Amino acid sequence: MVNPLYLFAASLGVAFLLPLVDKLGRKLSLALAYLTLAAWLAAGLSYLWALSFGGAQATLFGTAGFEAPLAIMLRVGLAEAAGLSALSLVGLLAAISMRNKLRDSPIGGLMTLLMALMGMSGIVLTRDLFNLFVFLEISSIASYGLIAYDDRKAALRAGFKYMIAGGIASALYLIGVVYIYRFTGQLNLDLAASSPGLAGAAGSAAVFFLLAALLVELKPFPANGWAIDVYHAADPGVAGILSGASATALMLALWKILPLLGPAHLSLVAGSGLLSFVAGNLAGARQGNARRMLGYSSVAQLGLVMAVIALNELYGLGGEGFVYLTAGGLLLNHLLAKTGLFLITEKAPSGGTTALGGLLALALVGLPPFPGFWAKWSLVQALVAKGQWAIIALILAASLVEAFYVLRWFGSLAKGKADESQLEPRASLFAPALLALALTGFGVLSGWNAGLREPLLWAPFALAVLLYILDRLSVFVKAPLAIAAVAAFGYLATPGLDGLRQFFALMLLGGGALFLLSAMRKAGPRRGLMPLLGAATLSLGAVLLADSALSFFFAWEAMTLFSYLLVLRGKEGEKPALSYLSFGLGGAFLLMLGLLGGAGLWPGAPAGPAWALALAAAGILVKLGALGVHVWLPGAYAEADDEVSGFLSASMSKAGIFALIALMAALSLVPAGREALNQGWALRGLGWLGLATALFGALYAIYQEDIKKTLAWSSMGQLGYVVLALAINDQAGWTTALYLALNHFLYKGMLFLAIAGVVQRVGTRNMYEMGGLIKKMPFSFLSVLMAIIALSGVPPLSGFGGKWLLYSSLINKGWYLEAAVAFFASAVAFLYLYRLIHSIFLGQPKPSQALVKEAPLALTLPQGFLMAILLAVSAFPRLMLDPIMAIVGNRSGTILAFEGGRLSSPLGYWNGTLSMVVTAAVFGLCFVWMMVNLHNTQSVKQFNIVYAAERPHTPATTHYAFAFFEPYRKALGFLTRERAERFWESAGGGVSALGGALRRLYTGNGQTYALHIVLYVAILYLIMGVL
Amino acid sequence: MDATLLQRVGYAFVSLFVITNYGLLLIGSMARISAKVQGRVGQPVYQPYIDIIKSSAKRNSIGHGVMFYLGPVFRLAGGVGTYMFIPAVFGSALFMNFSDSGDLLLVMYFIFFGQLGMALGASEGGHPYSAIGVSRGLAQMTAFEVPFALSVIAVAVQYGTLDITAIVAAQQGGFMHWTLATNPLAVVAALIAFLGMSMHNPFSVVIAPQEIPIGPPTEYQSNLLGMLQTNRAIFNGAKLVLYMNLFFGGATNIVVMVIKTFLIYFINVFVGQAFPRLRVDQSIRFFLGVPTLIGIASVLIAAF
Amino acid sequence: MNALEFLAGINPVAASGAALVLVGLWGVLARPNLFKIAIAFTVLETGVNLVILSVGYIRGRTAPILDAASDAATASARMTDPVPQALVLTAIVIGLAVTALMLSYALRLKAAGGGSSIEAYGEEKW
Repeated sequence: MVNPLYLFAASLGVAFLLPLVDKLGRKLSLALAYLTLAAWLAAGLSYLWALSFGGAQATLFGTAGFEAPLAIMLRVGLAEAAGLSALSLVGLLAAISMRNKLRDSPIGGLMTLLMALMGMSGIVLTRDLFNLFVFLEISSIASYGLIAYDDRKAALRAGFKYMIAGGIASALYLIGVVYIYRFTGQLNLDLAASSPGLAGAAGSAAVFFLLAALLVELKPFPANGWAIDVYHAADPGVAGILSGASATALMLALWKILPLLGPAHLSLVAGSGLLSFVAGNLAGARQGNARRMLGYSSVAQLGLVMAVIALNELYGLGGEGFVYLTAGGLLLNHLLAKTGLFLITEKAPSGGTTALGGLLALALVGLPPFPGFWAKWSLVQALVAKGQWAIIALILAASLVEAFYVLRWFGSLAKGKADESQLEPRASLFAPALLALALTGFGVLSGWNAGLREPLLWAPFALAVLLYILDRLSVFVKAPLAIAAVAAFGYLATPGLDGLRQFFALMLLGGGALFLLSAMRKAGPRRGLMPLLGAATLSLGAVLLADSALSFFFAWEAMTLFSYLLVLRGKEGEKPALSYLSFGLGGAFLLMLGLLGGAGLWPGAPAGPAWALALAAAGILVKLGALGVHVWLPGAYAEADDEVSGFLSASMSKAGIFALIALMAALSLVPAGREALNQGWALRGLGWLGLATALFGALYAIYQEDIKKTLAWSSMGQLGYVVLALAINDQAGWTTALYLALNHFLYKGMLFLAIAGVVQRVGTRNMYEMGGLIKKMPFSFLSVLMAIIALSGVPPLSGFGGKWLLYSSLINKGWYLEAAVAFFASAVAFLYLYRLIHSIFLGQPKPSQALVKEAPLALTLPQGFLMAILLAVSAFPRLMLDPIMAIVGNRSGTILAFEGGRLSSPLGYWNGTLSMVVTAAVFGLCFVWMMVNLHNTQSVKQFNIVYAAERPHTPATTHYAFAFFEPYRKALGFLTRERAERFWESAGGGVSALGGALRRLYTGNGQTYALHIVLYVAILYLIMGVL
Repeated sequence: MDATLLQRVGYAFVSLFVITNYGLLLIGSMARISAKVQGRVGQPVYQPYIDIIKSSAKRNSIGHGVMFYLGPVFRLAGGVGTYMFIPAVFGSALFMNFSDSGDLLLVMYFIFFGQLGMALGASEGGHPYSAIGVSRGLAQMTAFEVPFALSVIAVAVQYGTLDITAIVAAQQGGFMHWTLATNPLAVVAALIAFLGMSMHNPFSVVIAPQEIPIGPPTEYQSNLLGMLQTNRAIFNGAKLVLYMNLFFGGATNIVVMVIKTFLIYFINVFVGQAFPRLRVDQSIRFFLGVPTLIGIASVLIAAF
Repeated sequence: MNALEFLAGINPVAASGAALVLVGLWGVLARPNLFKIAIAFTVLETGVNLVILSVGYIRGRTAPILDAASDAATASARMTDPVPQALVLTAIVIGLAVTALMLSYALRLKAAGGGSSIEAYGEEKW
């Protein structure tokens, strides 16, 4: 391994030669500087290679030919090598993206940049406490210079505050280091740590001063106002270096002095870190300025990393390897993503910034496949194992807030809204792209390392990348490609699955393929749609494939991720997508805790404790949009692209159902779970929750003017029935649940596809702006008609089978009142269904829509397919029920059984085929009767109706469609006052107000910040006294 | 029970013929009774026959489209189908119809078949009054279904079955075995729901003749109207038979059926003559109030 | 231990260093003028330097200079500790750099039209 001293010499030499070299031209100076930084990077990578693969051991380099204690030692171990590589990479990339400005400003900028990075590298490498001080000061002083390099007033203001903070920190450090020397007689870290002199109270105080100085440099809440101001005001490249590289170096310094720290110190670090994580994220929630927001996120992330380091020591979470994996993973994730994001903030919104900003933002909030995801998983896993629930709750809650505000920013970026003036319109996207690439690479590597090696689990991401590369091509090329990918996935994945999973694969993958097909309804590339929809479909398949807690959660989060992006893609998708993701992540966190607690949702899984299953169930219910946590649902379904809405409702919601079923299956395996099931109150509660969801979904649906909102609420209600049926938890209940799920897939698919066609042709989603479209779009009408007959449960279509099964199972179970409420809810469904078909297809047509055509083939074809299936399973219910009953098997006794075409329950019977035949015969006879008696008809023109001797002339006043069920609202409107929406709004408002109050601490006055630091240190000291 | 398919179809036609004529005469006689109560002479009892024949003979001067024509077909098929799924007379092969297609749940849901189709047909007529009538009718329907569903559940719980034939069988052996005697609350709830279902006063706002001339069928005339009138007879008959089966011990022969259903229907007329009309929101609140509580009580009684 | 003994036990160098640190800190926290803050930092640093020296200084010993006149074997028992003195030298240099940079920042801020009070530079906040 090359001696790092050469690198220090190179950096110093180049930096001081630059003013001379600069006479030959700035290009040469830049090249020289970049070369130096590249040399650091190459050295770091070579160390990393040698240590990981070359069989080398951690090496100490002495200086001036001596060893410790006579000389300063430099150490190159795995952590140092990784830190060195990371910070040089960040430094190099930031420097590259700053090249235009470095070219135009005085040479000092380049010099200080080199010095700052060299100082940071020194912090990483040195094992000498005083030398650490020197490098801290070199990097700080160089950073002060660097901040001011472009001579902007804002940067100068912030830089001055930074200096005040740095000055106090360095005084603290000096006092600490000299007293450590006093008590141990050593300045070398390793020798000092092994000296007995630090054992007493005085030694502990000495270490405290050292620690306090490092903590202050690590920007803990509330002593971090100066840092946030710097992030806010500095050049984005500089902010990136400070947030990414400097933070890495300081974190390694903290890691380095761990041997000096006692339990009291560690508690301080952990507590302070957690507090910073929570407070930083809360304060960030209110932030509109992108760079300041990233600043809050930076201090929060650093807090988390240092908390992890300390917690590992305190609770023995998993030793050094664990820290590398989690703290290292979090830090890596933070420094790559944050640097990239800082660099992005200076670019005007465009396709490229959106894509890269999206990748980086999603990485930052810890979604798969990025390193933060894996790190957070192993962190929570370790904390769950130790039972540290309070800490877990804090971390997850704050992570949620962070995800909220980071993605809020991304949402507005994706919608092309820039929040501040561009500092550098010439900036290139090279550096952010490379950072995003590195993040992805490390993410995949960590996943591989974590044992996720099934290629099919990664297929969603691969497909997303592939289709994104082809994104310029027409949708007519991409859609068949995506469908082929889904088919290949199905071919590879489904044969190995059990019956239940194959059943769901039909809806998830088959549905995905149908909606991919329907995306061809519009020509052109439809950028972004295909990669996301294809990947989302495959991620649904991956959920079925999962065979471990991690792989299940991985697939689940991938599904959340892609569907979030799909919703965001909708025209007005910004706000709904954000609330969708907030709830999606909240649910996912609950699910994660459940999975880590031992809830097994895959075949042959060990059964976990009941509380874990309950947590997982809660998470899944959020995803299903159960009443109370449903507020994300209407917006997300309504504002997504029309085919995406169908996909979300018909296919993706079934993934939640699947998870719930898998959970129930797991529950019945556990003794404690069986007990809970037998007691029944838990299931009864679940049943009532499903029922309330069904009822309120229907009630809200009837008041909507927006057709897609109607369907969204309706979807929520229909899923409620499935939950209710599952809660029955016997053979009949399970059969009902699966039957309802498949049915919902069929008719909701048809409805959403038909409505997509209508909206496409008519150009509005307001039902009252349509009318009389039956003559223009007869096929769509037929599709909607069949779908609403099926949805409402009117015989002879298959929907009735669902109702029959549901009531039979409920009454058989003894849940009488539930049956009555379910009956009411399904009666209410008639209201919105009639309104839907009437307002759109019947009544008076609008003159402006006289030229509307039938929906495109890409929509009618899948509808026709679904209609054929619906008719087949209606006429022959056994087609559907035989497989379902085979899947369900004999769960605690057979309740339902077939004899021929007749399905019987203990209460009654239903013969689907016979009722179909009778209905068809009666209908046919009546039809013939009408035709026979029809004489001399004449079609009339519009408005030729009996209208009290007047003739109306405008459809707007004749088509009764607006506020259709006003009497109903008058009678029962008190039920639908959006209480959950208001609750969550005020909860969000509360968090936001808290954040608003917290950030008032940051007054912008440097002296106030200095006071914060002094008080922070003093309070920390007092707390240490108590500990 | 061993009848061949052809025989069964033949029986079904006979059964249908009987119920149609009975239904028409029932409507005619009730109209006459109402007239007497109001001090008028009233129409002849056979007036419904005249109406239907006359309507069917007229030419169809106005057609609004396919669904407009299909509406009455749906309506009539709904009425006939509902009747077909109910065993009209206990133990009679002639009147068992096609009740082996499904149990009580099938009947309850098939009632919607005709209503839905009719609503769609009326909608295509393009008349705002039709849509208003439908919206009121549906809104009211959701409300009266609640006490009705509760009382049906009470019956199902009490007899442990949803099979109509079995429910009737359980009530054989005299008045004290009728649901009316064993669970009167269920019968009360169901009868109140029946008032709503029949759309007589005070729940007639759906077809409100003065305000929105006859509601959904506003645009219908000639043979289409004739079909609706025919359906009214059959559908009424079917519902009455259903009520009789569920709550009043069923019928072992056609005479008992006629007497019982006549009396049940008379309750409607009686109440209708005595009360004024409610607004939709009032009737919704009414049905979801006391009748629902009665229904819940009936279920609890049956369950414990 | 009575008060006199306590006072006698105090290292005068360390005590004066601590006093200077507090004075400097007070200046940093309480004087809004940018230049005064910079000067307060030099006071603070001087205090810290005194504290460092106090650690190495041992009463009654000679300066740590090894030459022909001193016996290398017994030197460590007769001389003060040279390491803190070396540290102080470094700290002084660094302190100088920081002070210079602070003053130049203050100058630039003033030159750009700002006031000399730190309260005028609170635009980045919340």
